[in-house]
Amino acid sequence: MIAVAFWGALYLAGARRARGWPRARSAAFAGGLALLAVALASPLDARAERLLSAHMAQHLLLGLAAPLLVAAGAPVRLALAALGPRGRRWVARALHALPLRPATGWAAFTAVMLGTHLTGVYELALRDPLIHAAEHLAYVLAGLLFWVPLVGADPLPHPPGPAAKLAWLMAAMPPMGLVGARLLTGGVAYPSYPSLADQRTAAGLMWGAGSLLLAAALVWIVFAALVREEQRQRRREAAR
Amino acid sequence: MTKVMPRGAPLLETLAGTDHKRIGLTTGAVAFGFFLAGGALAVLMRTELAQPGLQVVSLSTYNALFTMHGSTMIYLFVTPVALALGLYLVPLQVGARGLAGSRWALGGLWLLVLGGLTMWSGFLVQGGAAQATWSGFDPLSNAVNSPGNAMDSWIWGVVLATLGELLMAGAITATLLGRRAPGMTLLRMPIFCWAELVTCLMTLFAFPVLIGAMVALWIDRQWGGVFTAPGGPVTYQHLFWFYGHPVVYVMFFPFLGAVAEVIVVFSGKRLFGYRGMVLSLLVFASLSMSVWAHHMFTVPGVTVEYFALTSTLLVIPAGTEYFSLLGTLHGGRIRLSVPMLFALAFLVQFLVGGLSGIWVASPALDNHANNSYVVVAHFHYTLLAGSIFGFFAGVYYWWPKLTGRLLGERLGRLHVALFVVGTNLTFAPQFALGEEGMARRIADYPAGAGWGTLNLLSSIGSYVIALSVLVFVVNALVSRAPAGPDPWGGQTLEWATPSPPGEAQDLSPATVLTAFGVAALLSGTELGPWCIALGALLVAAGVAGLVAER
Repeated sequence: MIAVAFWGALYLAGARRARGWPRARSAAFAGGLALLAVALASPLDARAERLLSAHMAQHLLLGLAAPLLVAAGAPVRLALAALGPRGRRWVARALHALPLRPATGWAAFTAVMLGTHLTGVYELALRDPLIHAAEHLAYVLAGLLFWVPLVGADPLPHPPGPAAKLAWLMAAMPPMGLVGARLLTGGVAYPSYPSLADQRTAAGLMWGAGSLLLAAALVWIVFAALVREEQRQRRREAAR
Repeated sequence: MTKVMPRGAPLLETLAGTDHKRIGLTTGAVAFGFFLAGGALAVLMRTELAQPGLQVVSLSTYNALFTMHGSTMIYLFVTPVALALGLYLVPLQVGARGLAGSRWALGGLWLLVLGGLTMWSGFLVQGGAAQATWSGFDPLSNAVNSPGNAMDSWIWGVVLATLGELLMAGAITATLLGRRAPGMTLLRMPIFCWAELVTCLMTLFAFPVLIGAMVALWIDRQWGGVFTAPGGPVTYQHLFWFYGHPVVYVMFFPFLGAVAEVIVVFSGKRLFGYRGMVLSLLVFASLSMSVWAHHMFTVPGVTVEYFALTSTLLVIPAGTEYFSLLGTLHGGRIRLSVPMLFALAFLVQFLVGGLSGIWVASPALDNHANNSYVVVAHFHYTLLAGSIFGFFAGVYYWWPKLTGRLLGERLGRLHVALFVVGTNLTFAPQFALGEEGMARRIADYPAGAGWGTLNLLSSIGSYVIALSVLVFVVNALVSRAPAGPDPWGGQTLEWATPSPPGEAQDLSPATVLTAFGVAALLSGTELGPWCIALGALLVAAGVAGLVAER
């Protein structure tokens, strides 16, 4: 909660300093933080203790929906706009050092999704609050690593092309589908959640809601990238 | 690298030449051969069903007939011919100097031929060809219920052909992404190229899973223990349909693309709502990964609500595409040549398949229709009345480019007319038959059921289809009129080349074949098949991403 408030305040301060910062980006960032708050500090969190479906909804919010909106808020671009020259240099150096490529993001997302849901980690996390917190942090970080290069709101050293984005977004659907299929077809997956009926709902959430969210993001992100590519080419041709 | 083959060795060039046009043509010809073979099986089946009782074949032969008909059409005809069009046309349409990774494609052609022969070799062994349906469901396909070599050769036939199709799709994707002429942005590509791009991406994601499932099935038949756990058969179904639904679009989009090109040219306009069409293809591609369980509505434990939702959502992009095509027709200067007739017939015929699709996307209605002739009629209206009408539209449209000759207009019109009549006569009665409760995959039905007349009509229809295909073959053999580079007033780059186009310079260095590794098998647990599928999927998804990123 404190972290959410901290980042929110920081973003707000930045948006004040950077003139003409688009409201849509601020709204997206605020929405992302709000989703994080909903996931961690609302009745959903309490429900997640008892219901696997609520727990899965929490994971989807943390790992997929919230990071998407945060990435759409272009926090790095804002930092570059709002900071002084030294700060800028520092951010630029960090950008080059971080593995902000779709391959890394996809691998992190897949590893976290499969690693936490299909192994014993899930049960461990339920017993130890520290591991649980680490698991949630891993979702958010993996989600950010996945979305930042794909959303493309932030300036990156190696931005992927539209077709690469299309392929990576499609590649993110199978891991969630596999988690869903495992929960659908197998027996009770986690001893702490013995209800099979609820497990089916959870599987559907993971699979259906997750895929739909990715599908919507895919259409939005890829199409925007295509139009941007076309506009660039037109400018190039007009300049000739 | 330039031409390495000596001139004047046509057989050698066909076998080993890396010119994308030759690979595309040969693949198309091989696939068309399988179409004729699979069609012959269909005619045999309809002959058996023309009246109650067993007249022509035995029960087990009938099982082999429908298994091999479905398998041949799907694995060996529609999918490879969809890719063959891409192999031939994509480099020309995007202004590439050749196919990227043409050796992949050539290897794919060999694998396809090998796979087809392997699958059909089942007819030579004792007990006849595979009988476990085109989907090879476990436990019907396991060692107890399908003993003998035919089932194994079917499995390896599917694996080889599918691997070949994967390689072709990889080559087309790489060409589309890496070999476009300067200035050819993705949003300037002809709509056919977009259809191929989306098709190939789905191929790259879905086909490895089928290969994984087939290998797992084979291991299960040899040593057991893979699908034997409780829920094992359902696991197989999930794996199979994860391939089985995207492949429906793989078998459809390239032909939709062909129809769109034809409608554009024969209306004398630009494509109406080009960006909307691209958008709808993207929506289809993304949803295609999450609708497969609508083939499993009647399997206990499937969350039908979600799959009904995602499946029904598909009507939105499908509707967009229809409006795009209708909008192109609207106000155009329409020329009713044979390609256009096929394209227009596609619009009407596929609508029947599409609308009956909304019907079976509803779990409640699907419970009634499942396993009946309604399903048979539905997917034949999509695959025959959709894909194959689109295929023939494309064939008549591009034949002058491929061969330098025009197909005869009068024989072509006869072909259209017979094909439309035959298709509807064959499959419209099957809706009624299914509605009355006739199950699919049966060789016989009781005389007292009153299904004789409708079945007879359906069988006559299948003869009419066969006749129409014969008309096409005759047309292809006898028509000799020279076409010139651009007989239709085409708008895309391939019409700026001579007919047939000259030798392409293949500039690609030898490319490393990507091995789609199968993860180690943990037998005895239900984790085994998941591991295989997962391994294949992760490798494939990673490779697709890396290829796309290049």
